[in-house]
Amino acid sequence: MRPSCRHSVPADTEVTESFEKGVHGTRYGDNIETVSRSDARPDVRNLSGDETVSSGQGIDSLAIFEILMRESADSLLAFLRAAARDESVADDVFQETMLVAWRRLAEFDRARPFGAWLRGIAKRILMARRRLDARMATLPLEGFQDVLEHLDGRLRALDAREGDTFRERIDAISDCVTRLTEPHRAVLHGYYEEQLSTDQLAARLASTREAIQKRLQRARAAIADCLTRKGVFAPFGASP
Amino acid sequence: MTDEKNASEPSPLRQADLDLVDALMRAHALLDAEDRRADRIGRVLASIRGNASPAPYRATTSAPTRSFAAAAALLVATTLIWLLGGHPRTAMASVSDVLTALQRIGDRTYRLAVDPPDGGGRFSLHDAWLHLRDGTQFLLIRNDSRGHRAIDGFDGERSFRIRDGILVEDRVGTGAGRIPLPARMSELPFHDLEQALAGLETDYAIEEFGPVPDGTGGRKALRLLAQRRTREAKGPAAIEILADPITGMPRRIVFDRAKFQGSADPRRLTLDLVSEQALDAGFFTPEFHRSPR
Repeated sequence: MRPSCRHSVPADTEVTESFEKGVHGTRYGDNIETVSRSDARPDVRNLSGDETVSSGQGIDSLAIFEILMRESADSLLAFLRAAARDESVADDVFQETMLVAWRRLAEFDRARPFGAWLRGIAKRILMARRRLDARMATLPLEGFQDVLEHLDGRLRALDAREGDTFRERIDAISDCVTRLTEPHRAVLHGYYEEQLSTDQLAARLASTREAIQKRLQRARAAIADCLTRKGVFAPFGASP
Repeated sequence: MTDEKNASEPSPLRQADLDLVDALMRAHALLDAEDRRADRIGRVLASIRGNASPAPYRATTSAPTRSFAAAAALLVATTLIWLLGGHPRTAMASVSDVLTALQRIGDRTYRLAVDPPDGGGRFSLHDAWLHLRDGTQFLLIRNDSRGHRAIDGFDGERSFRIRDGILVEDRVGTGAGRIPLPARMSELPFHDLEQALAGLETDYAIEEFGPVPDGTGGRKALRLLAQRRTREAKGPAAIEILADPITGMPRRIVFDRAKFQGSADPRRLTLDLVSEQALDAGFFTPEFHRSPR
C-alpha cells in the first residue's frame, strides 16, 4: 500500500482480507482484518498445514511471482480501471492486490488462472474501499458487487483468449474501431492515441466539451456492441 | 478518466461495459508506457523485497481443463488437414502421404521463420524451434529480444509453460499456454482430426507440382500449393508444402499472408525441417527443461 493512500485506515496498518469469509454483505471490519505493519509479513502457512519452506525456495517463489505478475498486470489494471473509474484508486489497489497476493501465494493453486485469483483479491479490496474512499464516492453502493462480478466475467473471458500478452488478447478491438464512423474514430484517436483532453478535442473539432463527451460515450458503446457481436463480450444474461 | 462519464446514464452493468471498453482502449493504445508499467511492478517488488520474507510456492498438478487448441503441433497437422477436401485425386493422394509421414513414429525438429519478423519485445515465432514427436507431443521454444526464453509443450498428458527455466503452468490436458498462431489454426483441436476436418473442405484449392528443386542443395521435392478460395474463409491466403517425394515427409511448410493475433498486417510463416534425429526420451517433459534447483 502506498503511503499516499487516502482512505481512512490508519497509516500504520494495512488491509488484508480474510479468505475464509464470503464477500456478499461485506462491511468494512467484517471480513477485513487490519494488522500492524510489523506483522505484515507473508503468511507462509499454507492451507494444508504443510511446513513453511526454507528461504532457499523463496527465491523461486519471487521469480515465479514476478513472472505471473508481469503476465497478469495489464489485465488486472484494466479490471481495476473499469471498476474504480479512477486512475489513482486503480494504481493503489493494484499495489495492494499484488502485495496481498504475494503474502497469500502459498494458497494459489497453479492449476487455476492467476489473473482470476488476483481479481478475487482485488474485488475484496474494492468492496472494502468503496465505503471509505472518497475517490470512489461516485460509484453506486447498491449493485457494486454485481458490477465487480460482471467485470470479472468479462476479464475471465478475455484472459481465456489466445495471445501471449493482454494486448494480443484484446486485438479484436482494432477491427471494432475500424468499423466506427469517421467522427467516432477521430474522437477515439485523439483521446486515446494522442491523449488529448475533451476540451482540446472540442477545440480541434470545433465542437463543445459536452458533445465530445457524448461522442466518446457513443463510440465506446459501439465498440462494446461490436465486441458482443464478435463473441468477446457475452450478451447480457449469458454466462461469460 | 471520468470527465466524460456524465454524458449518458446507462444501466450499471452497461456502464461497466463502457468503462471496460475505456480501459481496454487504454491498454490497446499502449497508454501505459513501458517505464510506467515497469515502475508499477517495480514498486510491488521493492515492497516485497524490503518488507517480506518469501512465501512458499506449492507445486500442484491440475484437474482437466477446457478443451483448447493452441498447441504448436497444429502448425503441421492442421496444415495438412486443410488440404484434405475437394481437391484433385492425385493431390489428395500426395497429401495423404504427407499426413501419414507426419504420423510416423519419430522425432522431428522444425525451425520457424516469420516475415516480416513478429515480436516487438514479446516472445516471437521468428527463429523459434518446434519439436514434434509421433504427432502426439510437441515443444515450442521461443526467445524474446531481451534474452528471455519461453517453452510451451505438451508431453501427451500434460501441457505446460516454462519461462526462463521456471515452470509457471502445468496442467493435465492441453490447457496451458496461449500461443499466438495464425487465425483458424489456433481454433482447431489437433487431437480431434475429424472435428478439425469439419468445414474445411471448401476453403482451399490445391495443386500438385513436382518433383521440383527444394532449394536446399539440389534435392527434389513434391510441391503442394493450396490457395484459399475466398477472402471470407479464415486462414492464410496460401499454404505451400515441399515434401520428400519418397517418404512424404514435409521439409518445408509455408503459410503465406497469414493473420497473426496482435498484428494487423499479414505475415509469412515458414517451417523448415532441420532434423529427424531422435531426441532424449524425456525431452518433451517439463522436468527436462526446468532449471536445476
